[in-house]
Amino acid sequence: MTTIHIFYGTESGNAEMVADDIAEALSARGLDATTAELCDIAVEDFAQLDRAIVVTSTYGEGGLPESAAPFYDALVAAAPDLSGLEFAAFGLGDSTYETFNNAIDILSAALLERGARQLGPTGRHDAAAATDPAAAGAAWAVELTELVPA
Amino acid sequence: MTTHANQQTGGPPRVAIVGAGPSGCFLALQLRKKVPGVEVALLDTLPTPFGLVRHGIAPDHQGAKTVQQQFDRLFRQPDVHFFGDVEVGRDVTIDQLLATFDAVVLATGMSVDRGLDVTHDVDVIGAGALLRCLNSDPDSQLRSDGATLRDLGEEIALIGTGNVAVDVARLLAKSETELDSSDIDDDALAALRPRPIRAIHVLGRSSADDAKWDPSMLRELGAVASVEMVIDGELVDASTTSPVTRVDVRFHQALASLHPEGSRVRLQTTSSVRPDLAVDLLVDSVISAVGFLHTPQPGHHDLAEGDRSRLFGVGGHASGRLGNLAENRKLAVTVAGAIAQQLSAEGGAARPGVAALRRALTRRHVAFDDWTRIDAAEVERARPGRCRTKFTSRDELLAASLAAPVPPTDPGATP
Repeated sequence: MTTIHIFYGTESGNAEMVADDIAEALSARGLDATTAELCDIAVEDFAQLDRAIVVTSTYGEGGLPESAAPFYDALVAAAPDLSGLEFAAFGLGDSTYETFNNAIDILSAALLERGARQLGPTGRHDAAAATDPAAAGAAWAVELTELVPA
Repeated sequence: MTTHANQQTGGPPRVAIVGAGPSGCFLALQLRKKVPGVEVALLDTLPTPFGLVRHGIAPDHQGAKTVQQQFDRLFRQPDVHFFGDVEVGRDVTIDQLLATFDAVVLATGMSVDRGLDVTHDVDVIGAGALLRCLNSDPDSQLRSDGATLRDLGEEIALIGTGNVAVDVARLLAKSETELDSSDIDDDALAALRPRPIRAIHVLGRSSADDAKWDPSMLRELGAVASVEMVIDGELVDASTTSPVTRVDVRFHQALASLHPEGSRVRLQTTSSVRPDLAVDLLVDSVISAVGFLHTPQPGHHDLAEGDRSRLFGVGGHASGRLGNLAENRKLAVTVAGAIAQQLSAEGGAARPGVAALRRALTRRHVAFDDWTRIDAAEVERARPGRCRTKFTSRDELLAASLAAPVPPTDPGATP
């Protein structure tokens, strides 16, 4: 069974919580899922993966959170071939800001640019909607498994 | 949750964290991930958990407070225990904690407002104490001195140009309706600000470029409808049609003197860079927002070497900086790694943990279930336009913690 690697970029830990619940939702459906912070994976290791989920919040003026920015910079610099990678994307944001969920789009665009294929729609949680981001992430992951056969 | 490795070594280790604020909670979350089955006790002098998430983050920044959901889930995990209204030094000593737990972590933060570095005989109000007061902290210095809250007047000097200063200026300038869906302490605000504040003079020592506040925080202040902002003599945004409060920010200001004049305060500055912007003000109140000092610690200087190596620090206690959530989470990740490594080297629990702490405490403590009753009662009694109306005294909090059980709240619900 292909392991689904879930990587999160976070400032205050909310994206980590969402990643944990996505992993739990996938495990509950019999899938093998692991989580790690984006700052803890090297781009060359990332490029070897078959399936990944990226989860990130948007920070400040629409930028990547601190734990995702170095990964993104390394990805752009190394420009690896990601044509063997399928990924899904979930963002946390706040629609009261113009840059709502900007970071997940930046990250997804960089993966697509390098030849990765995106599975399903990008999930977008809105803090302004005052709903539970972890529950939203889990529901999104379940929908994803229905769209994409294991 | 028990792992095979732990079964071989006398069970999962046990950790006590002194201070249930964001740093203590972030640390506990990381420990629970890194050390399977670890038992964690979080002690706090307050009857309520979450520290500065509840009493520090501004009441109109509810988005930033959503981090509380992570902590709520933490406390609902098995083997994570809240000990509220427990004061280290009064109810239990550091030595006792070290004898009871395999590791002890100080997460007591920086709760003391740093004073101004000019000698004076004026009653200067600490920004931290003021924010705690507007955030209903029963232990806010402004409240616990027993005195009724003093009217701040119509003209205020605010010393400092960090995010805490911006929070103070914004909260004191916003109208009742601009505070919609916050959980500000309306009674405290009404006592401190019985009528609109005409002018807030923000005086910073640094240059504009070196000011510690985030540009987005300053923009948010400028965007408050009732605020007209002037920076170094220049009007920032002239679009405000009917400003109520003028926020006059001046940089390169060295505080020269501060002394009472009648019921007001005479404040003078010098400026070597912009002498034309130096001030000679007569204000009603002076608020200092120039940083924080460590929370005083009950003594533990004569610990044996073996005990000292089991005592850790996190958050402001360790860094000497108040910091933001992200910075303190990052530090907690690092410290949790170090603690996990040490605990794994020692191989499992060697001390009795929570069960023994419960026996050692002679007064009732507030457990997490008790807190959920306080939480529900505060939301229940929320005034119109407010998401919550907090209790402001320990007596009220403790009474609410004992109230009849309420239906369990959905652990996944957003607070």
